[in-house]
Amino acid sequence: MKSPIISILCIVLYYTITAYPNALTSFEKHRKIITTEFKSYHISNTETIQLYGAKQRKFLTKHTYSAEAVYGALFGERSGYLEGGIFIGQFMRGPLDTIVDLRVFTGAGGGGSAPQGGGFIIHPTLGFGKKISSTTFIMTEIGYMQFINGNISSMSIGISINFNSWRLLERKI
Amino acid sequence: MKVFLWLMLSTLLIAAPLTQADISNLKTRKVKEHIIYETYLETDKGLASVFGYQFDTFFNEHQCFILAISGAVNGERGGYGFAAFGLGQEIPIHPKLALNFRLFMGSGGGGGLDAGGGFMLEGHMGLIYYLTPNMGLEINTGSLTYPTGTFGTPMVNIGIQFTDRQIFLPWESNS
Repeated sequence: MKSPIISILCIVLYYTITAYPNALTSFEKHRKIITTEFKSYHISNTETIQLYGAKQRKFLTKHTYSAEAVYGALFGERSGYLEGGIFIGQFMRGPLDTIVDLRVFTGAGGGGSAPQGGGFIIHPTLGFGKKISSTTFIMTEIGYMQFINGNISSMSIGISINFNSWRLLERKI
Repeated sequence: MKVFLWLMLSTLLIAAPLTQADISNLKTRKVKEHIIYETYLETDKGLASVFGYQFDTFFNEHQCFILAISGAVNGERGGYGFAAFGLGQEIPIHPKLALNFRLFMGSGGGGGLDAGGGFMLEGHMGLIYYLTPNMGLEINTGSLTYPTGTFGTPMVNIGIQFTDRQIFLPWESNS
């Protein structure tokens, strides 16, 4: 019985703290990564689609992030085909100073008369990246695109260029 | 529920406060927002218009990176839209007037237009009139094409734009 009350109190406290900055307010910095990505997968047994998109990762901890992403069809036969959604992921240090990125995307997609059914997407991916400057790194990734209530189910590949930056926010506590 | 609470708390506790070095490294850059009404002059069902938003991040005072998004609002092409990025160049010719050149590439389609795979290219040029240093009107003309489809059209657009300066902390200051 106590647990739900404590949980509710914590949530109320959180929103109170974040909604009303006090006199101690200052700025804090959070890492974010802006990405442009090109990806490809099979939309049916005989048809592939290529999309480009952009995403913004916002770090919750040093290595864990949440993000938003949108993609639009570029090549293939499905102009108007779009995907949009959110994902969570984890950056890890890989061998030879590489970056390993494990994430799960979920969202909605469809258009262009594709066989997307209801359009609900689950798309886990595993990426490997390499720094090319202090700000920039490139990644390549493989994944599996699954439309839960549609007929698209395929391995996916992608390549992206990523830019580190800071997100400045008002400090709450 | 506990995981959710920990995640919420982590967003409060893990952020790094700005150091004095960070504060001395803060910089500003020019940004601009555009609200655009664009008319396509040639479609197989007559005129079609899109309503859009563009956000410019300037590298310097006159050159910028553009993000653009538009959707159909008039004509027989409901559902059509595009999202694009590009580069822009302004050339001041008078304290209140500037030439405007912009190139975009992106993804578009829908509304039954033959946009092929969706790959879109657009270029336009025009004139900006600054009503105030932070607000301007613009009129542009140019062309839009879908290289992997058959759709292409000349177009005109009008818009209103708002200029501001954004504070940011360069990532390089981390090293």
